[in-house]
Amino acid sequence: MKQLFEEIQEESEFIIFYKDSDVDLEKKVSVKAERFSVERILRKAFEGTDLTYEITDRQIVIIPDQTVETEQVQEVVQQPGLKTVSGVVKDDVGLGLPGVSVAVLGTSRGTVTDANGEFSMQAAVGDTLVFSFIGKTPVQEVVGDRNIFDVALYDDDTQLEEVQVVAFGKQKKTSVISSIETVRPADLKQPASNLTSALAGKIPGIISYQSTGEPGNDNAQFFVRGVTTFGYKTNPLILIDGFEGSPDDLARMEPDNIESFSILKDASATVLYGARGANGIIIVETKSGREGPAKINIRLETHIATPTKMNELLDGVDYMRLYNEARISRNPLLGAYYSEQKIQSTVDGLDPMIYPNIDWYDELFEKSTINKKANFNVSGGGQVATYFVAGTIENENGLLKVAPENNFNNNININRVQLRNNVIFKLTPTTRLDTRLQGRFERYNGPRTGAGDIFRMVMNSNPVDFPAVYEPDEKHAFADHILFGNTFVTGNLKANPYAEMVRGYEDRNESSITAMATLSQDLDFITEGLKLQAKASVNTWSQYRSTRSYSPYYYDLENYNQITGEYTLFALNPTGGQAFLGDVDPGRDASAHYYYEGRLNWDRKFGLHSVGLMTVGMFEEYLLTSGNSRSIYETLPERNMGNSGRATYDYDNRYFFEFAYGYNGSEKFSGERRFGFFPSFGGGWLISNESFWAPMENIINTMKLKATWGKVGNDAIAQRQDRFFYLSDIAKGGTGGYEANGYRWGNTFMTQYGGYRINRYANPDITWEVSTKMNLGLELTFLDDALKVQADVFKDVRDQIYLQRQNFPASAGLEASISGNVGKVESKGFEGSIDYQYISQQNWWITGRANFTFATNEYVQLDEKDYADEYLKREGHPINQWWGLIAERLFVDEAEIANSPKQDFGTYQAGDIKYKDVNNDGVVNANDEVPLGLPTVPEIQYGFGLSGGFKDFDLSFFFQGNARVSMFINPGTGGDGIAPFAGRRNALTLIADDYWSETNPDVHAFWPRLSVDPLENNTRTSSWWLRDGAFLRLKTVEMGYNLPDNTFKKIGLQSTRIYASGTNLFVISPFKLWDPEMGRAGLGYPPNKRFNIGIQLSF
Amino acid sequence: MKRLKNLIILLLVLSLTPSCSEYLDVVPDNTLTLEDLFKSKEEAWHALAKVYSYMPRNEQTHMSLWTAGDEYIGRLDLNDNTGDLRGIRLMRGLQSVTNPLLGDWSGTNAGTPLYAGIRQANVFLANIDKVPDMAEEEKNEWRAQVKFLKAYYNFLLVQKYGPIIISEELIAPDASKDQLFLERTKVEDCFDYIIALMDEAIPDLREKMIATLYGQVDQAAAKAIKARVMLFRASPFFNGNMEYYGDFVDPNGEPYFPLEYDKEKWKDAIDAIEEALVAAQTNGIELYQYSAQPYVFDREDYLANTENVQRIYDLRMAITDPWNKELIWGYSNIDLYGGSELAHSTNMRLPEGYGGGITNVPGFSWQWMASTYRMAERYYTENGVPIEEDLTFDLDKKWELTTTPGANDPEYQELRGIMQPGAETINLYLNREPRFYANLAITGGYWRSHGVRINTVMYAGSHGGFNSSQHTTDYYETGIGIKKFVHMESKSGHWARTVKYPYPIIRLADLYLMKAEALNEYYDTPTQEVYDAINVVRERAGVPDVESVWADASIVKSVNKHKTKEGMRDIILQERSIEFAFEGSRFLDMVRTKRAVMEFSNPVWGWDYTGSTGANFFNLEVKQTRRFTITDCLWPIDLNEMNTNSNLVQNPGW
Repeated sequence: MKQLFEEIQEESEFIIFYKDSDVDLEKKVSVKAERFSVERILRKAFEGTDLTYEITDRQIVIIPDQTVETEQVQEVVQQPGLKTVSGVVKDDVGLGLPGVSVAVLGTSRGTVTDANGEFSMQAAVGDTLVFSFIGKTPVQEVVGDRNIFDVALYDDDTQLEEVQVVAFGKQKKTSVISSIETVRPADLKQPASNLTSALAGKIPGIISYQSTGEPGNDNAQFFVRGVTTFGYKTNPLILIDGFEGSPDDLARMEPDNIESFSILKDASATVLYGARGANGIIIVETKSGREGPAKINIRLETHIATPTKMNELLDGVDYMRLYNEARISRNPLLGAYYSEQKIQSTVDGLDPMIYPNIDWYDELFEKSTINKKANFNVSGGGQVATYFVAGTIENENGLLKVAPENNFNNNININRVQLRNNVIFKLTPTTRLDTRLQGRFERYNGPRTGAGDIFRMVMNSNPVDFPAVYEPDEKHAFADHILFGNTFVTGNLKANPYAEMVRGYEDRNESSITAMATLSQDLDFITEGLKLQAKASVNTWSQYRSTRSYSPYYYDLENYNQITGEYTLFALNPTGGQAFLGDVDPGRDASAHYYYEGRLNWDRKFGLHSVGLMTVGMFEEYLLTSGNSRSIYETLPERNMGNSGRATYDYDNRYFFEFAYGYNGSEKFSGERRFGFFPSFGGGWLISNESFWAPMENIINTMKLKATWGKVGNDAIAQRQDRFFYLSDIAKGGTGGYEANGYRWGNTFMTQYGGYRINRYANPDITWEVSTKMNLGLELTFLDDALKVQADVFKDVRDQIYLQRQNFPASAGLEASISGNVGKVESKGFEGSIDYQYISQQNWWITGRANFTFATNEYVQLDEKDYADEYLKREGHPINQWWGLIAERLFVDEAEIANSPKQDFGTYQAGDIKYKDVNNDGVVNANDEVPLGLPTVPEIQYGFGLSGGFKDFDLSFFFQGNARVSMFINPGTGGDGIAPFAGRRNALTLIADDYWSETNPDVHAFWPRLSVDPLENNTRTSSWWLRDGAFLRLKTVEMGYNLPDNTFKKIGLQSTRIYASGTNLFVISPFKLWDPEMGRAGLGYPPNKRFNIGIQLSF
Repeated sequence: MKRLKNLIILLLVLSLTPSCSEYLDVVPDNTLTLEDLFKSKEEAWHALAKVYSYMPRNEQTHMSLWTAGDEYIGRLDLNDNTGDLRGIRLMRGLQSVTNPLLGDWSGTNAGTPLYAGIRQANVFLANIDKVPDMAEEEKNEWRAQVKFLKAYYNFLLVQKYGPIIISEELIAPDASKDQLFLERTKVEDCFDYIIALMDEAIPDLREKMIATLYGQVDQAAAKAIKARVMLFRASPFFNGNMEYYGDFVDPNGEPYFPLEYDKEKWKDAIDAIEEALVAAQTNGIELYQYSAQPYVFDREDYLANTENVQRIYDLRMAITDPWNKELIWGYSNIDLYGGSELAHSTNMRLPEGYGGGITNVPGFSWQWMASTYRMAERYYTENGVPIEEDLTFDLDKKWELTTTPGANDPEYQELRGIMQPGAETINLYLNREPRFYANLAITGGYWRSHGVRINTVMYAGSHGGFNSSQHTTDYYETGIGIKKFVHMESKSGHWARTVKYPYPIIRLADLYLMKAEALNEYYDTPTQEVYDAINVVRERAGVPDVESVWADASIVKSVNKHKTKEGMRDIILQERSIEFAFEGSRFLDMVRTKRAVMEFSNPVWGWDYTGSTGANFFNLEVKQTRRFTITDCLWPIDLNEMNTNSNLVQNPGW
């Protein structure tokens, strides 16, 4: 009988309740049931017993047949003090939960809640009521004085995870032996409109960081089990409802719409997606409806975003003094650049047109911005179909100020609308059609130049050379345009950040539409457990941009009268400007993605043996038409096809075996290299199900060991335009200003041929990058499953990595570098998590979790040069570690320079960085570079947090940290280089506070001797600029309050929750210059601190 | 219902058996491959252009080897920026093994990857036969050009590196280590290889290039370059250089450089030069004379002082008059639209008040490549001898301020069109040879460009001088400008307003001076042939014959210096330094004659450009220190390459 019940629960969606004393579990019943309804099976099984059943929704309650047990009923009636108790059972969001079984402990008495979650029944004082529902933790209440019981049932993770998302399907959790991590969507909730920024520290096995906070451009980098290759693609495959999506698609997912979020990490889990699975897979399943009346959920949020930290730059006076010093310090001949008169007048704050002193950060950016978001969804369904419809509206803004001179908005302003429509039709009792439509529509308005670049421009300008805008002088009193300030530096106009910010705007429309249809058919009539499924998905994405801008007219001071303050301006580009918004600079990009699969599943249980077989065939095509690409190779479609399969077997829920394979083809390779075969094997042992475990069961409730081994392929080994390795790639014509690859002849210089350029030499042998993954896992639960611990150790040997061969001399004369499948990397690591959950009967609950990922890697092979010195070799070192010189300190004086090895990087003086001549050859050059510090991608990422609730209040916080990570300050001028004064750019105050000078010859100063040009000697990558990039930050804090039930009941509101949260509130790090998560990119758009309030309503 | 179900099942089953043929073949036929470039003549032109594209870009200010030597000084504030003024950085002792300046071995730091050029030549030679629509004769002519270029690129490598790697093989991507990691070939063998290849090429070349293809190699050009190769081969740096490279040996202990001096190499050079001169003559190449009308602004002076003004025009326009008769081979691949040529970095900004109110824009007249003071001294006096040799030139008073004769002064007549009347200047600037006035912008002189004649003062705030209110960084650091590369009609602001001309790779005067040098070296004492050769050039320059002036004890201190081989060698080399000033000749001349270390280790001097009066301006100051050692005579092979090919022996000192 016990086995029968289990099988019913297993095979159907029913859950069976019974009282042990009523049912003789050991009773042997024989039911030969094929395609019988559950009712019929039960009736047959109960023949000759005193049992009967009640079915309500998905619950079966087995009770003694009343007709037989009149006596007992009478006993019950005779019991004194029986009274009517009633109440409402709700779920975690406060919605009434229909179909909850309410039973009196130890008896068969009970009832089931109605559609509104309400119930009413007879119970005696002293009875214990058990409220139970599939997927929820049961709650017990003792009947005392109270007659009304309002109970909330929370998701029971242990039960929810009974079913685990795996590649191409779901498996019973206990039988899963591959390394798959599932995240509760609730844990991904955060105010930022970017899901990827929530990944860091939340999921064991994921390493993630976010280096910019620019709205619309703030995707975090994320890797599964760290970076495991130095090939082209290092980030994981993203599958949304089984269909490959882009990082943007993932970033814009609304956590409220997510049913499950899983990370597939080892070979067993990823091999089925053989062409792309080598870097791990993120699988997101969206919600679908359940039968029942419509349920409506609304969430409204608004938050304030403000930079976590802004850089501090010099003000005008300090800037000028220091600039002069830098100039004279290197070459006294050059003399001071800024006159003492200008400096003094700036100190005195005279006419800001003549003596500007501008804080460009202030001039350009607001201190904070407000963003809003509304999300609603409705779900429900009937016999024919169930539905889940969701919509999200968002508005995000940037920090840029809007110029009053213009009537257009140059700030980032994103309006995003998303719609999702998941409908499942039950065409026949055995046929289901699952349709999913999703649209994302985005209107972006933003500056002409990227907001990050505008931030960087601040460093590139200085406070004193010109004001943002000149007030017109007499001559230009009637000018029809704005008189932007500017000046020439080394023959070019400087960037006026204000002009760059306000001179135009980009108007962008982006839409992404995904349609999916899955038709599944049970083929039980052929053999039991056979299912056939076909799926087709299509996505089209398009974006068109219009950049409208005018060309600013720039002016410089020509003359000014120091006494009257009158000045005249002269035009720097009298013919180059254009006062009106000129021709639009258009951009159009679009892509299409088609996917098709056919799948056959067969799952069957024979006694203690469970067998599962699955095979799937797929075709995939990805088309990109980039508006600008003229490369024939880039615009050709990417295609994959393949067949994958899996066989699983488990014996008695104790021993598990699995074999899976992928046989995949890619358009990138040719001949016999085209297809790759990737197998995987795995086994698991659920020790706690062994009989000998019984004595231990109270201490360690479950214990599972698992191991997998397999190979996974990766065909994304080079950029789109470079992917046809078996073909040579020759482009005609020159790149660059003139005939770089060709020549010009003739008396008029007009006979010209562009020549050609060889971008790639053909290599038909290029083939798949192959990852061999090994995983060992352990799962434990304690304290009645309240405490769960899991841990995995893993190893990934990535072989045949496509890379540029280093060992090719220039004297061979090849124009393009030669590449081959010659790289090999070994990664290994450890990850683990601890979850604890406690729900008290006294209205409070607490959950805690912590996770930890450590992933490290090393080069095993990479066709290195024939280095004489061992330390120059990359082999044996991590991928993202940097090589650089060892900086000893700054040179004390010229005598020391004369007595030290020559440094082969241009000029240097006392106060410049002194390096160590590692190989003692008397010269410091690139051959003295040694591995420095740790990798620049964190090797350790961890997170921990606690949530707790008391009655209607809840509070949670979460910390996230990175460790074992190095970063290098960029001491140059490009991008995020902080080199001061080059091209008359500004300097960080930190440099002004601590630099080497004749008067302060501190050989350990932060900055070497000042210069107005970056000195190569000082900008070389060296230990001087190496910093520890570790940090720990308070990632999120949230406080919530559920309004008492009755408050809004009249208007149909079932529950209301209001909450306030904050993200990135503080960070602890040894690195103080800027937010350490920005890494090297410290001058860009900083990450945001957010303060959020929200309300969630359910109807 | 049942029917629906069956239909679905049928569809699903069908879907499991998709046809897979050719699904993964996405590349259409007819994408461009290397072979396609030789399918028609029109396409093959690209391949020819590709081979030419490796010619060094000496016209580009920041990439030019011409700025090496001691003639130029650029903006000091650009000097520490590694991307700029590489030639000058080289002279400052900043050559680097890590990233060699102008490294042609691997194409580092604005060098041209010449091995890639050689490979492209080999690709061309291997495939040109396949072009269907070309006559055999034409193929031969192209083939000859490519062979010649291949030889020339090898020669350029030898100039910088000495022993180089010579490989006739087309290295394939799957080449074996033996094919890849070659050893350096001895200098002597390199020269033999280059000369043999040139000899092979010359007969098939066009005798004279047609106008629409000017810039391609014809016989005259090839023979002239071959003559230069011979000259280098015979020069002491490459011929018996025991002093520098006695210890520079290969792994077997054999010297890379020929350590024994072989005089006969000069004879080979003489023969090659003679042959080149004949070819030049055949093609009508002759020393340049300006033949058009002088510009309006010079009309009056021209009429009054015809001979001298004509000479100024002859000398001033010899480079910038496009495709003139003197040019044997010119670099025609100029950056038509760019502003970074020497022509533009040397051009003077149009001062206020000139040009009829044209706005003073900096583009294409950057005004910051200046002449060193030393170069200004190097020009001869009017007697055609160095200033320190000229007894009529008062060396002690050379820096004293003086005033040019007034416009009506009879003494001014022969200065008309050369110096301004009644203008402040210094003695050093007077009584100099015509090339001095034609090439340098000096206080009291004239600058002809922008279609106008500018009275140059060079003091701060005045014409040609530093002007902080206009531009704080564009000025001549030494207060001396260079006119040689600026066409008189070139205006600023837009590429189309400048006059384009080919930068000379070799011009006729070079052959004459090479001839003089080779003959002088070959014979024990100078012969009349030597004097005749140099006098051709001196005559055009408007200075007296070498044998007459050097024999004149009333003029020169070292009388009869021209009668000894050593004395004549000095005279010839100085003649070269003047005639080819700023044209990139001096640097290589000094290296090949082993004078570079001595000549180039002097600081660069210049006037105080911030001086706004004569008294403030004419103060010499050190602008830049220079350091050039024996090590610098040969380029280092970049570390990257050294690390890659362990069979390579690095050049000495690096």
